[in-house]
Amino acid sequence: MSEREPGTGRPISLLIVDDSSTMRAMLKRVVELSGIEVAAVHEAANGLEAMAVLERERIDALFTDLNMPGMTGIDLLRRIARDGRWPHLRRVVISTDGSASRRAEAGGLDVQLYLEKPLRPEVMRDVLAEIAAAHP
Amino acid sequence: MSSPRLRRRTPEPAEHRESLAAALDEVAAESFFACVESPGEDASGDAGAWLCVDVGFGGAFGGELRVVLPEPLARDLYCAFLGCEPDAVPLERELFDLVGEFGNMVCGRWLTRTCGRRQFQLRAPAVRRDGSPAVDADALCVAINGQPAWLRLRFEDDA
Repeated sequence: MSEREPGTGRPISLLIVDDSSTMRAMLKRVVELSGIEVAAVHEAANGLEAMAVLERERIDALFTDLNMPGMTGIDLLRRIARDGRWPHLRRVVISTDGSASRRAEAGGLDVQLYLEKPLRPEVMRDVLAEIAAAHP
Repeated sequence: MSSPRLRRRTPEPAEHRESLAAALDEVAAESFFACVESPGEDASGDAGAWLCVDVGFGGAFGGELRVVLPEPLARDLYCAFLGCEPDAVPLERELFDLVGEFGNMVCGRWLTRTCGRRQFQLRAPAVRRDGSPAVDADALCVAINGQPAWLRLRFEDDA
């Protein structure tokens, strides 16, 4: 958790990447209800769409599923890590795949947190609070 | 680490009844605030249209999980998942997406617990309407929030 960007004094911007529109809607709802000041919540249905958002928007935290058509979450994280243009981006995985091997794979790609679906809303809220607190 | 000389044994669906039931319990409670019970007589009534989702998987072993549930239950789960009013009416594509994600979560949770350190892959869920689903003989029959539903596993032959 060393990728802090202290003193920016602005609300955080989030990117939610999941091929399920219902999952994206649920995560957005948790963000809305969290009371945490958020500048924008962007959405993408796969890694390719997420890359396009990252190219044009300033994103502080990425929440990504892994198993998606087009470009998977692992491929997305690999590309972000290799690119090096987003050193301050917080990376959180939200996946149904909680296997130790997949966690290890994500851990090697600068992922700060690995959350397993089903996800309790309060867990997501706590993660948001932690990210916001690290971004005063 | 398994020796290449040892053949993998194809699991029997019955071996996984308990772990599948546990995965369903967890998913229902944690994300859908739903209660899973044994099916009572009142849970087998006429539920109208049914939705069926198949989630294929591979890796440690291959197969498919099928989840079948009545459309009114799918709507209840949708509203609980998104925290919207109970009488909200989702579009068909939203309902199908929800049912796909529900099947995906149950299958992913079950595989995570079952596969241990072995990797697995999930295929995209395939959702369809099913007018009068015949319950498979080896299905796990339950009541979710008092409404009937059933799940069954199939494993690919490893021969």
